[in-house]
Amino acid sequence: MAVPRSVERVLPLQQEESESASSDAVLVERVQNGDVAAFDHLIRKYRERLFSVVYNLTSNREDAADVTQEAFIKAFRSIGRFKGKSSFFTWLYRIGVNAALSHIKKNRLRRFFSFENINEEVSSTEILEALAVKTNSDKSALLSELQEKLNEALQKLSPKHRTVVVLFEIEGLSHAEIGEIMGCSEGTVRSRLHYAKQQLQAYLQDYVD
Amino acid sequence: MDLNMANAKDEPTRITLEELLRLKRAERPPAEFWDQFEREFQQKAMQALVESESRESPFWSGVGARVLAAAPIAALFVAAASYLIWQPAFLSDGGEAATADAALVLEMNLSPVHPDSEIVVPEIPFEDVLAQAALSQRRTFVYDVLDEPGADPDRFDRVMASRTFQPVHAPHTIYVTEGVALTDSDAAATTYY
Repeated sequence: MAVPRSVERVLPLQQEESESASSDAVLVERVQNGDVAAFDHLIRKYRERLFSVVYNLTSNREDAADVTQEAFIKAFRSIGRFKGKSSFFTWLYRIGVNAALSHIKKNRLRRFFSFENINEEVSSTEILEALAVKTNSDKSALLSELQEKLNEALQKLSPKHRTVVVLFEIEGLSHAEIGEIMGCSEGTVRSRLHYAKQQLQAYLQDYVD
Repeated sequence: MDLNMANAKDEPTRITLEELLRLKRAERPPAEFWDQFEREFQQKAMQALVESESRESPFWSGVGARVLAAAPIAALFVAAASYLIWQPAFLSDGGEAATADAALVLEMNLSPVHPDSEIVVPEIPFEDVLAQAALSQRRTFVYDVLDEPGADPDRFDRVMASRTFQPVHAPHTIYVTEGVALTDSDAAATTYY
C-alpha cells in the first residue's frame, strides 16, 4: 500500500495560478513604470519558493540566501526587458536557477553543507513512521540521517540533473515549465529526470522499495 | 473485502523515491530567517543602486568619454617619454656612451653658469675614437675545409686556419672551399694539383 500524499503541492491550483499570473503582470507593469514598492510585493510572494529551489540546489542555507538575494537584484535590474512572453515566476526561476548553477560552478571545490531543520508539522509523519519501522531506528534520529542522505544523494547528481529533480519532485513544476526555465525541450527534461531518478534510487536503496 | 483490508494492514508500507524526495519540502527556514534576509537584501539592493547610479551618472559618463578621446594622445605621449628616458637601452653599445653624454649635457645644463660664459666641451682625441671604433668592430673567423694527409679521401675534416699547416703541393693534396658537397664533378671543379 502506497503512503498517502500528506505533503501538499507547493504550486497553487490552476485557477489560483492564473489569478496569480495576472496579479504578477500588474505588479510587473507597476515596477516597469517606476513603482519600486511593487517589487517588494513580488519579493515577498516568491522569496520562499526561490530560496527553496536555490537551497535544494546548493544544500547550503547561507549560500542560498546570498544567491536568492542576488537573483532578486538581477531581476529588478532587468525587469525593464521583461516582455511578459512567459510568466513572471518562470522568468524569476530562470534567473535564480542560472545564478545557483553559476555559484555551484564557481565553488565546485568548496563543498560545505548547512541544512535547514525539517519542519515536522509539515513533513509526512506516515513516511517517517514507515521508515522508522523499516530501518528499526528512532524517528528523530532517522529524520536527521535521512536529511543528510537525501542531500548527499542530490549532490552526487550533476547540476543539470539535480535541477530537474528539484524543480519537478520538490517544487512540483511541470515538464514544460522546467523546459522553459532551463532552456531545453520537454523531452530533454523527461530524459534527465528519468536518469536522475535512476541514480537516486541507487544511492537511496536502503530507504526506498 | 474485509480480508483484503486486513491483508493491506499487515503489508509493510512501501516507500517510493518520490515520497522520500517530497520530505525536502518540509525543510524550511524559521520565521526570523526572513527578517535577516530582508535586512541583507535591502543593504545589497541599496549598494547595487549606488553602484549603478555612479556608473550611469552624467558626470562620470562625461569624464569617461573625455578619457577615451584623450587616450590615443596620452598613449603617444607615454611612448615618446619612455623612448626619451630609456633611449640608451635601444643603442647597440648598451647605451653607455649615450648615457655618459646625456649625463654630461645634464650636468652642463644644470650647472649654474652665467649666460655670457663660454661652454667648454671636452675634446676627445682622434686616436681614442679610432681605438674605440676598432674595438667595436665585429671579429670574424674564417674556416677552411681541408683534408688531412692520410685520411679517407671521401671525408673532409674541418681544420681551423690558426692551426700550423704546411701546404704540400702534391697530387693527392686537395683544397676545397667550405661547404661544398663531394661529388665527382664538384671535386673536379674544386681540385687543384
